[in-house]
This record gives sequence, C-alpha cells and structure tokens, in this order.
Amino acid sequence: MEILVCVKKVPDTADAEVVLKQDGTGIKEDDLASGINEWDNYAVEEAIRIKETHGGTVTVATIGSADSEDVLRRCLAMGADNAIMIDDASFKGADPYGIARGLCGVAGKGSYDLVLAGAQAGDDGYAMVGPVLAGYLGWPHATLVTSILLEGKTVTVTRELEGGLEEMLRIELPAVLTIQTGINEPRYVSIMGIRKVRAKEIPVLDPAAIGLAPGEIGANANRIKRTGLAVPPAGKEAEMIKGTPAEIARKILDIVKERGGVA
Amino acid sequence: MQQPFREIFWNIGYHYIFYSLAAVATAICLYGLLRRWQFWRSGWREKRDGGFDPGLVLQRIFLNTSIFKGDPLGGITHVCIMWGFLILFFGTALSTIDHWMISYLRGDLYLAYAFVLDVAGVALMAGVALAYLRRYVFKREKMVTIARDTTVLALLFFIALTGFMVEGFRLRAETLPWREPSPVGQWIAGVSGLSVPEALAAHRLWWWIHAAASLFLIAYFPFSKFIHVFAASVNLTLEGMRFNSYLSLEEREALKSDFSFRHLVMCDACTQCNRCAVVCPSSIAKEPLSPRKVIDETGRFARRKGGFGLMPRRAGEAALSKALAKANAVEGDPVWFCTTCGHCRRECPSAISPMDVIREIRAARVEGGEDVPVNIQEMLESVYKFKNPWQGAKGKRMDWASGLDVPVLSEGAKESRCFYVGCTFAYDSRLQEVPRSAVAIFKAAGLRFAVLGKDEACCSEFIRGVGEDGLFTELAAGNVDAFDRYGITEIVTPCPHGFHTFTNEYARMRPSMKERRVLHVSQALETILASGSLALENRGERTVTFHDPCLLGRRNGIYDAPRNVLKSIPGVRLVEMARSREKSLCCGGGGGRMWVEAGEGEKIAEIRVREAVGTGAGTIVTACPFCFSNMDDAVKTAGFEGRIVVKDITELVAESLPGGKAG
Amino acid sequence: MAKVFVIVEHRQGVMRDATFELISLARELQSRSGLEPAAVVIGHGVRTFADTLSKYLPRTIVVESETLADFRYETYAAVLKDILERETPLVTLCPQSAFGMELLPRLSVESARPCATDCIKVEMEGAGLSVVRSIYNGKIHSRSTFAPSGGYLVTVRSGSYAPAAEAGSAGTIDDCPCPPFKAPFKTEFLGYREAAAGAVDISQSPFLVSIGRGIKDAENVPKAQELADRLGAVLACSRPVVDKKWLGKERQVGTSGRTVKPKVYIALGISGAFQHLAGIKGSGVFIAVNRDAKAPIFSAADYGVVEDMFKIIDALKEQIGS
Repeated sequence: MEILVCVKKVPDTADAEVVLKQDGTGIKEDDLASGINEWDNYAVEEAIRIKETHGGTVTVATIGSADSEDVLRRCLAMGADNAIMIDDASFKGADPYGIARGLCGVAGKGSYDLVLAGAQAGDDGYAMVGPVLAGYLGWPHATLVTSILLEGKTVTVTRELEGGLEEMLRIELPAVLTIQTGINEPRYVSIMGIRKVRAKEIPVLDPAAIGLAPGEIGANANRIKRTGLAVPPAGKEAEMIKGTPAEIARKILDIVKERGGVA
Repeated sequence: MQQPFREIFWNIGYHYIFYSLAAVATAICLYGLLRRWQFWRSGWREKRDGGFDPGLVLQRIFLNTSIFKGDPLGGITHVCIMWGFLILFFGTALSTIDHWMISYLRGDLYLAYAFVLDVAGVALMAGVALAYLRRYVFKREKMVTIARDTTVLALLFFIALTGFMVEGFRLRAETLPWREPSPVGQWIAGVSGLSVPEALAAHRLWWWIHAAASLFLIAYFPFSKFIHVFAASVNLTLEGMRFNSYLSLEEREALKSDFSFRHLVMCDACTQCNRCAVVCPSSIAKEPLSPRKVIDETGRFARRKGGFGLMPRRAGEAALSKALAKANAVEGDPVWFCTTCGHCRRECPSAISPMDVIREIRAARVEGGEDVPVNIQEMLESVYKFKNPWQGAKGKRMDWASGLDVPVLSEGAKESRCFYVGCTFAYDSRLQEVPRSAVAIFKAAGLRFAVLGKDEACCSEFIRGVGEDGLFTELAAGNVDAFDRYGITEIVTPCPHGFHTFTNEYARMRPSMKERRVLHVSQALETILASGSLALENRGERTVTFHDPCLLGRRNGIYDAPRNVLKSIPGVRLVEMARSREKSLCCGGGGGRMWVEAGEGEKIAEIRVREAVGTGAGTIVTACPFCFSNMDDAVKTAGFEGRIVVKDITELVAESLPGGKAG
Repeated sequence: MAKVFVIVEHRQGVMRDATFELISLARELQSRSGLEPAAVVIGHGVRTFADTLSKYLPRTIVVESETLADFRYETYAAVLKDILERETPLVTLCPQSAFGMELLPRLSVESARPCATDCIKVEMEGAGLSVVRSIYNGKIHSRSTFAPSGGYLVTVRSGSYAPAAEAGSAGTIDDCPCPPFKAPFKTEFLGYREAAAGAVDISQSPFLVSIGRGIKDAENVPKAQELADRLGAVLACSRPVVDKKWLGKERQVGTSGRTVKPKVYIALGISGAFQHLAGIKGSGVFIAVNRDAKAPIFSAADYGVVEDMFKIIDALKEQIGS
C-alpha cells in the first residue's frame, strides 16, 4: 500500500489575537505559533497505522516555503518513510485549485494507492483541496472520513454527517480520502524522535519537476481571487445579555440557532 | 601453661571435602558478583555534581544512620544483624589466616576474640529475632514480606545457632586448661548433658551442618537480597557524590541502554523495605503507583532485557512486560503518577531514587510516542508550539502586567536582575495576582528588575520530569540564551519549578548559569524584609500554615526563607502541619501531574488541605503556582470553602504593604 | 436573465434546515441583483419536497431516479453537471455540510466552474460574484471574487442567513429526466449508522451545555440533562462536578478532562478555572451564565449572563416548549 499524505503548516489562531499586515494581504505571523494543520496530523497518523498493519510506504508532501520543513520532519519522526517539499514562490497565494494542481503533479510522480489529506485547514478552511485533487486525478473520493477499513482493492470508510450520524461507503482504490479529526489518537512526536530524522534528505521539487507550466499556478492563475481581508468587529469582554430570564433565554436560543448549535 | 588458642578442624577430618566445597561456594559467589557487576556496568555512566565525602559515606554505610532515621528500632535491628554478621564473617576469616598463614590468635588476644565472636553471635540472633518480630508479630506499617525475606533471616539464624551448638559441644568434649570466655557456648555445653563421646559425635555432625549452611550462604549471597550489602554501599557513595541522570541531547542519543549504572545499582540495593511507599503521595492517595514496585519491576525487567538473569523466573514476566515494556492501559500506568516530590529518595535508607528511574521510563515512553497519556501529549504539544503548557498565545504573556509599569528586557529595558514570571503565573488569570504582588513589593523596596517579556519561555522543569528531554533542552537553551543576551546576573522567580531547574539542570547544561544567582521570590522577600527597608502594616490577626512546595523544600532545602517572611508580617501567626518541611506532603501537581488525574478516591491535594484545616489556620500559604491551583481546587472539592483560603506568599506580603489593599 | 440555483439537501426523507437559509439568500440575490431563483432537488421519492419547495421559490427542478436514492457525489454530480450545462445558472448555492463539502468541490472540477466554500455572505458585484468567508478561527473575514466564468458554485455556512418563510404564491415544478450514468461506479453507499453509540464523546459534539459548581447538588443534574436533551446538546461539566461524581469523567471539559471545540458552548454556573478555559479554546460561540459578575469566565465568553443558572434553565425550557 503506497500512501501519499498531503500536509500543510498553519498558524495557530485559536487563542491569539490576529492582526492584519499593513498592506492587508495577509496576517502577521510573527507572534503566532504554527505547526502541522490539526486535520493533517490525524491523516498522517492514519496513514502510518495503515502502513503498520498492511505494509507499504507513507510519503508526506507539502507545498510551502523552507520553514515548512519542520512539519515534514515531524511527519518523518512519526513514521513516514519519505517527505517531499514543493517549494516555489509561484505557489504563493495559490487558491485550492492551484494547490490541488501541485499535489496532483506529486501524486502523478508516484504510484499511490491512497492519498490522504486533512478534511480542512485551520487557516483558510476551504475543505476543497482533497475532492478537487481527486477530480484532477480522476479518482473517487470521500470527505470527512472517520474510519478506514482496507479490503483488497477497495476501502470501506465512514463519513461524519451531522447530528451524530455516519454513513458507510465502499470506495475503489486508488482514492483520495480527507480525514476528520478524532479518527485516531495521533502519537506524540518527541524532539528526540525529530532529531533522529534530521539528516534524512527531503527532496525539494519545483513546479517543472511535477509537470506544471509557469503560469498554471499562483495568484494570477487563481480562480478564487482574494480582494480584501478585514478584522470583524469583536469585543474582548463578553457581551452581556440583560433582561428578564425569559428575554435572556430567547436571546440565547437566537444565538444558538444562529451559530449552528441546533443540529 | 599452654596459651589459650583454638585448633582449627579440631575433631574434624576430611578437610579436602570442606575445602572443595568452600572453593565451589566461593566460585559461585564470585561468579554471582561478577554478573551483578556486569549488570551494573551495562548501564550508562552518569556525571556528578559533588565530591567524595568519606565521613558521610562511613556514617551511612557503617553506622546505618540512614536506617535509624525515623525508625530507631529498625536501625537497632539492622546494626545487630549487620555487625553480628560482619564480625562473625571476618572472625572466621581471621581464624583461617591464623591457621594457614600467621599464628597470632594466642593467649589474651584469643580470649578476646572468642568473647567478641560470642557477643556477635548473640547480636546476630537478637537482630534476626527482632526482625522476625517486626515482620510477623508487630507487622510494621506497610512492610512487605516475601518468601525471600523469611529465607534469608532463617538462614542467618540457623548459621548463628549451629555455630553456638558446635562451640557448645566442643567445650563439652574438650578439656581445656583455661576457661573460654564464651558464655553461650559454655551454657550450651552445660545444658546439653552429653557424655564426651556423644559430644564429640554431635560436634562432628553439627560442625558439618554449620559449615554447609555457611558455605551455602556464601554461594547464595550475590543471588539474594544480601546483594544490597554491596549495592546499597555503592549507591550511598554515588548519591553522596551527587551523581545524577542529566545528559546532553547528544549524550542521550548515543545511549545504548535504558538505565544508568546508578539506576541499576539502585534496583539491586532495594531490600523492599517499603519506606518509600509509606511517604509517597501517590501511594497515600491509593493511586496505582508504588515506588518500591517500580524499582523491583525495573530491576527484573532490566536484568532480563540485558540478559543478566540471575535466577530465571518465568512467572511474573507477563505482568512485568505489561507494566514496563509496553503499557496498554496508559491511564492506569503507574509511572505517570509520580509527582517527583522526592520524598521516596529522602526516606530510602539506601538513597534509592525511584523518581529518577521513573523519569527514564517516561523518557522511553515519550520517545516511543504511543504510551503517553493524551493530556500529557497535549501539554507537550502546547509547550512545543506556544512555549507554555497552557496554549497561551505569545502575545498574551505580558497580560498579567496590564496597567503596571514593568520594564521588559525584550522591549529594550536594561537591568541585570531578571524577574522570571513563569507560564502559569503569566497566563492563569487567578494567579496573575502573584507576579503583580511581587512587582508591587519590588517597587516599594526599590529593587530594580526587568522581565523577559515575549522572550520568556517555559522553564520546562516538568517537561524534563515527564521525560521529554529534547523539548526541555530546546526551551532551556532559549531561556539561557535570553539570560546571556541581556546580561542577566541574578534571576528571581516566584515559581519553584523554574528555581529548581535553573539551579540544577540549567547549570549542568550551560556554564553561564553557574555564575548567575538564582533566587526564589521567598528568598528575595526574606532579604528585603530582613533589611528593614519595608515597613509592613498589620492587616489583622491571622493564623496561617505554610505548605512547602517540594521543589523549594525537599528538593532544594529551602525551608526557612518563606517561614521567616511569614514571621515578619505583622499579625500573622504561623502554625505547622504535621507533615511539614522535609516531611511535607506534595500537593500532587509535580512531575506533570497537573495533567494526570487519578479517577477514584480522595485526591492528594484534598488530603493536604484537610491536614491544613486541622491546624486551625484560616490560610494555606504556599509559594508555587501548581501547589496553589491544586489546593485552591481541593478547598472547593473537599468542601472547605469559607473555612480556609489558599494564598501565595507574595500576595500575603503585598497585602501588608503600606497603602496596599487590606487582606 | 441570470439564475441562482439552490441545491436542496435532504437525508433519510427529510429536507435539512440549511436549504431554507439558502432560499433566503437566493431571494436576496433576486431582489438586489435580479437573479432568477430556483430550487434543484434530486433523489428518489423527492416529489413531495418539490411540492413544499414550490411554496418558497418560483421554480423547482426535480430529478427523480431510483439510482439517486442515496447520496453519492458520483451520481449527484453527474445529474447536476447536466443541469448546470443546460440551465447555465450564474450562481449555484449549496449548504456547507457533509453533503455540500462532498459534492460541490467535485462538481466544480467536473463542470469546470469555480467554487468557493464555507461563505458567510454572498452578493453580486457588477457582473461578478463576491463572497465573504470567515477564516483563521473566525478572526478574519476575507472577501473574494472569482475568475470570470459561466457560473459560480458557492457553499454557505449554516446560520449565515435566516431560514426563509413560505412565499405567497405557488411556483412551477419542472420534472427533468435523469441522464444516463457512466457505470460502473467507483463508490457504493452501504448505509447509515449512529456514531459511537453508548459512550459519550463530548469532544465530538458540536453543541455542549456544560455545568459547574453552580449546579450545587447531584439532584439538580437531571434538570441540566433535560435542558441539554431538549436543546439537542450534549451535557458536559467542569472538574468539580466530576470530582463529586455527579457526572462521569468522560464528560469533563478541561486540560485534565477533554479538550473540546464545539460550535456552541453554554457554561452554566462555571466560574472559569483556567484549566477549564484551556479545554475550550477554539470553540465557536461561548455563552456563560454565572451569578458572580466578576467570574473570570466572563472575560473568556462571547456572551455573558449574570443570573442564577436555574432561572435561566427554566426560562430556556419554557422558550423551547412554546
């Protein structure tokens, strides 16, 4: 079983104050911690578990600049066999289609049975790269996968639906699966473990090496064009809800409904 | 008159049989000792912080001072057995030398020799009898008795008894021109009532039995718990020289074995006396950890793994491999319950430190990645990503100081004294009052200082404690770099975890740390208050009790500074808990235990809070963020709200500052 | 005239609420930019949905086939591609859900139309379409347009638009034939199952009602449980509640319990111990109810209520009931 896992380094913004760059093209990442996208971490763990049970190799790939190397090394320390970096400025600002194009090139370079990716990323959260990549490859896909059972040339997977419901699908290989958090418990990666793979070579491919023409990717080739970023108005302290208990309850229910709490 | 002496092999023939057996026994003994030595040598070498102190070592090894500590009867028992045994053993050796090499046991010297050996025999038998009483009649608290203990005690008793019998029968059969000063022998000779030929026959029979038992003991020695005679002596010596398990990452990477020489010696030095489990906070709270068992199992595991099995024991291996090689049920895995409070080490007569062994096991687990409790993993990932265990954003590290004018080194302040705040004080909104109080006191006292600001990273004391040495080293290096960069000569911290690791591990890691003065805030406060530059005001009469944080007290010997501070606050009366100072009970939050919870039963912190309430104090004063959080929670969960509150020592001082808020 | 299509989401014989939110959006695009709205419902036994939908929108397109009985992106994308090519709607809307996330990105590739997912605002900007997406944990709003195309696909985050009410007049229903499929299929639907029945996994629940020491007594726990049940939420708690064994350890939120990231977190009578708050980092909306106005939980919550938690529980139950 040859598995390719697509990973990405993202800044952690859960508890941090997010500030826009002066030119408004992105966010300031200096004060933000960053690491492997949470969903991708589960995908890497799942790939390694499949390898541990069925044999084969796990290759992790990322499209990113040199500072993503630590994420790839972390994956190698977890137990991935190879890592590939597609490092090129032409991917800067690429939309999910551009990223999927790049990953399609990587997948085409090997003979993979399975491509895993995180269901979405913690930064821009498109949740598109997996199914779009599958479309480019002409492979079947399943998103939001919460379990994988390998059976010969097919996989049986469950997909997470709403309200505690799952659906089961059988999918022909090769396939692209996007992994939902909670599918497994990712192992801890110690610094000692990372040090052990520090000398492992990580090939850095340019777009030409994966069969992409200049101009096929990058901001100009984007089909989704970002025109502006803004910080939504938000107070630091809680917004206090006042009134009679009934009024308060009504307001709470409105908020719950608005924020998708009711399944 | 013939000079008093004793003919060796009197009444005994077939000397060659005895010598052949003796040779075999000695060979087995030497082989056993060699195997033990090889086993110890299979461990890696540690480095030491101190030098050899012969006085300390002699006291502990030959006077058994560490056994007497807290258990005088145990000390007496051990001294009787040990010295009885040593005198008899070397006495017998002396007579062999006398027979084969130089004759010197003649006349008065012989008489004295005979008397001393008789007394030693009595001491040995008395010691064994006491040991039996303690084990089987009085059943000392939590004493663990296994078949091996009964065997070795019985063997010692039997050898001493048969020795006296041989002596008695000889005195009965032999007509000597002098009276031997052997009261027990004389007494047996008298009561036996045997005729001379009967006595000769009995003597011959019992001589061989005594000889066989003694030779068996020699052969059995290195394979039994008697090995502690050597192992404990070695360990007490190593401990006295402050050998420790700190290694650089490069050294650690090059390791070929799981444990160090000292760790393996400790496993052999343990006599299963169980004193550790009596004081272990986790054992007290009925959690799955017993330090004694960890040492026992580690020894067996390491011997088997390294191929040093002395007495192959199939049984128990499954349980062993489950407990140590790979624990499936991580949550119930004993090694994650250690609070690294160090009480076991202090209590152990052989200075065994289960905590150090547990740390190595944790390090192996962390490197493997899979047998680590989820909460510990998340904590480690937080430290890796955010440089603090609380997932606090870098930009919020200075939130605690909002509204205060605090000089920040990373923003250009120039000071040689660094106030290292620590993660929990910086991010936990309830605890932010502590560094704020410290700042108020420093300002009132005119003490110049600055903080690292965004350059401050987790001290990582408990990161090393849970075995993530790589992460510890990375963060520690970052902190030391920051101290170096800003030319810091003195560090003051309210966190005992930082204090401990700065003064111990950091100093081992980087020479520049040895030149820095590191103070816990209670020491700084003690100096400030002793100088009289700060006049504290009385905020009302209060009775408080002080909870010693383990990393301040037991692990680093700072007991008086916080107490002196409390005594200088007008209106504050200090009462002590039963378990205080070096006997203090841990809050249950050290060694990563903030992230490991035991499911059932009363929590360690609740036991501690109950004890504090028992003193009648209205305030538990502590000087550690984890002690604070744990006990503050425990006050609520154990239902003591309204009866007692938890405060940090800096808060208490700040409340009494002139113009400060009322307590 | 340009069209806006709403792809109707339904499962196990029930149309999902998100569809009606999209109908609101389609109407908004109609009134502001003159787009002609229509619902597209495909599946098996969906004719009754069409009858309902016709009360909301002027036009409903129905594709009825046994092959479409269970949702599979393969069959649904093929049908939709066929419709898009025939009808050429300018905008096609679909909920950002397990359904939309599976379907629309793939449809985008198959139909060669660009797609933007998880949008919170959709509006016409001249001849083009402009969307707003909430990114970086909701801390940044990003506005995007598309490279010019014959049609745009958009999935919309649930809750971004209020559900529509019935329109006054009845719309038309167009039955379309199901196009032939290129069998064999590479995916096969095997069935539904309830996720992890039995054990509660609070970390997987999108909606938590969490109780703290304010619950005061074990006898009060059922009151909170009842509220959670009626809200469709899972009951969680802070450490003291577990410590007192009023709820199981598996329900504890915090660094020593479970780390959770629900969409909605309602904290009742929780003061906000640091360890507890660390366990809900990254949650969606966080509503705190506590009698103590100074409780630290209020500096972490999005919404705060200073009131007795039991009064609020009762009031909430009443509101749900009415």
